Amino acid sequence: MSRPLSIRSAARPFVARALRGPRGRRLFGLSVLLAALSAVLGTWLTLGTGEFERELRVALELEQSRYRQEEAGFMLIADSAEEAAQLRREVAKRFAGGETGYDEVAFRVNNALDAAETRLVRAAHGDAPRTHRKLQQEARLAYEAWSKYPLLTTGLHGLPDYNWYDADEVAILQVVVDRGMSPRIEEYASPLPPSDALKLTGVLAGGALLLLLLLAAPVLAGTQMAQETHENTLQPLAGSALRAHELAIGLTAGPLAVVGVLAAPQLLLMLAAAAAVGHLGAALAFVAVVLAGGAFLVMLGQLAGLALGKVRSPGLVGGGLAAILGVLGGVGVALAAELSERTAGTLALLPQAAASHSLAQAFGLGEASRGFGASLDTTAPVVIGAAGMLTFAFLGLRALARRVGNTSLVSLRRGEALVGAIVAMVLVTTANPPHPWRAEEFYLLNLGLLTIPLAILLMMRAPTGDVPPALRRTPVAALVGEFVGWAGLYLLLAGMLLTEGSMWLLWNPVALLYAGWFLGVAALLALRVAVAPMTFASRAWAGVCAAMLAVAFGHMIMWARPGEELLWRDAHVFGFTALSPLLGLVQALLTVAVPWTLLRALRRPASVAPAAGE
Amino acid sequence: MRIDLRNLGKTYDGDRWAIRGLDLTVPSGSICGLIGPNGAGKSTTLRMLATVMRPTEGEIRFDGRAPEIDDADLRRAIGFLGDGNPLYKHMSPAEYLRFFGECFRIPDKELGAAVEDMLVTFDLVDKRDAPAGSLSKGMRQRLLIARCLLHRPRLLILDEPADGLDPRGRSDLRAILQRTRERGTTVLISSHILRELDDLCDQLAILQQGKLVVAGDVGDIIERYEVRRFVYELRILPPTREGGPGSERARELLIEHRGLVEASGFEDGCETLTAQIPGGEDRMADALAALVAAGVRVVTCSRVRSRLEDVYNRLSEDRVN
Repeated sequence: MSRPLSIRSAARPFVARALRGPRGRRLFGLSVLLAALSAVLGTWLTLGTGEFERELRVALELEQSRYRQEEAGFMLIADSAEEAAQLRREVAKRFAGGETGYDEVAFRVNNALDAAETRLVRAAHGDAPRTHRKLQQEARLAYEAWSKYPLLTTGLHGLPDYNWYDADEVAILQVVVDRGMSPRIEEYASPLPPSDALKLTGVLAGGALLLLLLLAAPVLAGTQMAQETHENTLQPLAGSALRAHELAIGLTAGPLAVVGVLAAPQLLLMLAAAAAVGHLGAALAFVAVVLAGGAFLVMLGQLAGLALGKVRSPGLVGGGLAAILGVLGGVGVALAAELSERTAGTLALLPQAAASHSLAQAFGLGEASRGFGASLDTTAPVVIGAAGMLTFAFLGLRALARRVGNTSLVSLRRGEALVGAIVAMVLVTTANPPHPWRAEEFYLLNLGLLTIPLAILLMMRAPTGDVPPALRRTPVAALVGEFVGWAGLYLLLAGMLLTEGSMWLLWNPVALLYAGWFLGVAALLALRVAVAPMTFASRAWAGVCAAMLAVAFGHMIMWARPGEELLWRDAHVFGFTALSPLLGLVQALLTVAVPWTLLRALRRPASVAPAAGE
Repeated sequence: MRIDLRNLGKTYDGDRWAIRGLDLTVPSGSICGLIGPNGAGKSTTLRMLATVMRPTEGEIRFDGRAPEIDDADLRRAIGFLGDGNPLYKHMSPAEYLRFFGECFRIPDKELGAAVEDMLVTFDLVDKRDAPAGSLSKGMRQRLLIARCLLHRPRLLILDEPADGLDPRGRSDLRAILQRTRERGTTVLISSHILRELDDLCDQLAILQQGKLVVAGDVGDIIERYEVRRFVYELRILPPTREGGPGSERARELLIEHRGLVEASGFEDGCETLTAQIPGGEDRMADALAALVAAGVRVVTCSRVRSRLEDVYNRLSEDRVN
C-alpha cells in the first residue's frame, strides 16, 4: 500500500469514529454557528456604539479614545440624542452668559471650553512662525470675542508656550478658531466604515483558529490519548492490522477531525477577509504558523497523555494541558502585542506569539504605532519557528508510534535526537541572538534554556519500552555522553557566532567544572526520572537535585567572567561559604552526593534483561 | 495456524516471573484450553500470543514463522479478546464493529455484511444502535467476541470469553467456537469454568504459578490421570413394603469400605449414589458383594469416567501436597 493510501486508510476509522452519527451532525451545526458568530461579532464590534465594542476598538488601535476624538475635533460626543440635546443646551447657556451648572454635562462642557480657551490664550501670546501668524491673529480675535475682553499682553502666567511646530496641535487650534469657541455636539457613531466589519470578522476568525489549533486540538488529543491509556482501549487497537505509525496517525487524526470541522469555516472566513481587506500573504503565513505550531503541540499533548494516562485521570491530564497551554497562549499574545526588536526572536520559540503576530500583520492591526511589532521584519523568526515546530512534530509522531506500537525500547533513535537537539539550538539562538558586548547573556542563558529540550530528548533516548524497570540496562555513560555532546555542539556553534575570547567559560577551570557538573547531573536526573520508578522520597530528592542544578548554573555564570572581575567580586568555589561555612560544607557535600545517588539509582541488575538496543 | 512456544517467559518487574519456561505446541485447527488459577500466567501467555506483548525470553512461532516487530500481516490473522473488557462506551455495537473492521482493513464491500452477520450471530440486532455503555455485561462480552471474529481470523485467542455470559450465551459461544474450528481456525481459550472446556477442547494446557503442569490431547490427559481416581455410580431400588435396607444402609456399607459418597439423588424410580472407592476395582467388587449380601437391591453399578475438572482438581491437590 502506498504511503498516502496507508495514511488515509489508517486515519479513516478514527475520523469516522470522531464524526459518527448525530455527534458529527451536531459538530457540523456548531461549526456553522461559530462561523456565523464570528461574522456577527465582527460586524457588531465594528459598527456597534456600545462602550464594550468602543473600548475594544480603542484597544486594537482601530479607533482613537473618546478624549482624543473630542480634543482633535473640538467636539463633545454624546451617547444618546437626549444627552446631545443637554450638551447643546448647556453650550448655548454658556454662550448666553448663563451660570455654570454642576452636573456631568456642565462639567464636560466646561472642560472643553476651558481647554479651548487655554489653547487660544497660549497661541495668542509669543511669536508664531511666519506661516501661522494669521492663525495667531485669528486666535486672539476669537479669544476676545469669547471673553468679551481684550487679551492682556502681560504673559502666560505659568502656562507653557504654544508649540507651533506640532501639526496636530495647530490643526486643533484651527478648528477651535473656525468654530468660534463653539464645540460641535455629535451623537456617537463608530468611526469605522462598514467594510471594516469584514476586517474584524477576519481577526475574530483568525483568533478562533488560533484557539482551536493551539489550545483545543492539543488538549483534545492529549485527553483522548490519556483516556485510551487509562481505559486500556489501546490494547485491542495495538492488536489490530494497523502498523505502529498508522495507529499513531489514526489516533492523531480523530481529535484533529473534530477540530478541523470547527476550524474549516473559520479558516475560509479569515482567508476571504484577508483577501478582501487585509494581506493574503501574511494570512497564509498565519495559517502555516498555526498549523506547524498546532502539529507540534498536538504531538506534545499526546505524548503527555500517553505518559500520564496510566496514573492520572484523563480529566486531570486535559485540565493540566489546558492550564499550561492557556498560560502559554496568554504569554504569547502579550509578547506579540508588545513586540520589540529585542524580543522579536522569541516568535521562533512560542507558536502562540508568532501566530498572534502574523494575524495582526494580516489585518494591519497596530500599524498606527509599534504595537504587534507592525514595523518589524519578523520573517526569519517566524519561518525558522514554523520549520522547527514541524520538525519537532515529525519527531513526536515517530516517538508516539514507537510507544503505542511498542516497537522499540527507545522513543527516538540517536540521529533523530541529534536532529531535535540541533533544531532546539537553532530556535533558542533565534530567540536570543548573540549580543555584541554581553556574550554571556547569549551563550550561557541559551545553554540554560537548551537544557530543558535536551533533557526531554534524552528521556526519549532512554530505554523505557516493554522491559521491567529492574531489568532495564541503561547505557548511562553513552547517554550522558550524548547529552554532553549536544551541549558541546551548541557551545561550538555559539563560539562561531561570538567574537574570539568572549567565551570566558572556556578559560576558567572552575567555570568549566561547574558546566560539566551541571550538564552531567542534568542528564543523570533526566535519565533517573525516565527509567526508574519514582517514589515519594525519590521525587523529593529529584527536587533537591533540580535545586542543586540551579545553584550550579548560577556558579557557572559567576565563574565565567574575566579574572580581574572575579578578584573584585571575591568569588568562592562554593558560593554558600560566603553566607556561612556550614552552608558551604553542605553545598560541597551535595555536589558529591547528588551525582552519586543518581548514578546509584540508575544501576540495576542486568542478569537476564535484553540489551537496551534499538 | 500451528503455534509453537519455546521456553517462553515473561516478567513484569524483573523479579517475579508471570510465566517461565513454557514449551507448548498447538496443532492447526484445534481448540486448546488454557486452564489454571488466577495468577497462573494465562492472560500473559495469551497477550504474548496475540503479539501485543513481547516475551522477556523464549520465542513464539506461527506456522513455523517468528513474528516480526510490528507484524501487521500476522495480526490480521489473529483475533484477540484480552481481559478487562475495554470498550468505547459511547459507540453503538454497529459503530464499534465497523470501527474495528476498518482497523482490520476489511474491504468496504464486505464490511457491511460482516458487521450484520456478527450482530445476528451474537444476537445484538436489537441493540445495534444503543450505546455500548448501556449494554448488559453479557451483551458487552458478546460484542467483544464478535469484534474478534469479524475479520475471520486464522487464530482466535479468547481470554475468559464466557465471563458474564448467561447459560444460553455460553451454549451459543460453544456452538460458535465449534463452527470456527470447522473453518480451520485454531482457537486458544482460557477459562475458569472447566465444564465449558471439557467437551469443547481437544488440546489442553494446565498452568500453575507460572509453570506448565501438563499439556496435550484432552482425552490422553484424562486417561492418564483417571487411573488414580475411582468413582462409581450405583442405582438402588427403594426398600419393599415388607422393609429391607435402602440407600442409608448402602451409604453405611460404602463408608465401611473406605468409600467417600460424593453425591446422592433419585432418578427413574431409583435412588442414586456417587461414591469414590480408592484402591482399585477389587475394592469396589468387595463393597458391591457386601451391599448385595446385606440385601441392598443394586440395579446397576457403573464407573464414572473422570472429567476435566477432576483431573484439574487432582493435579491441584498434587501441587499443594
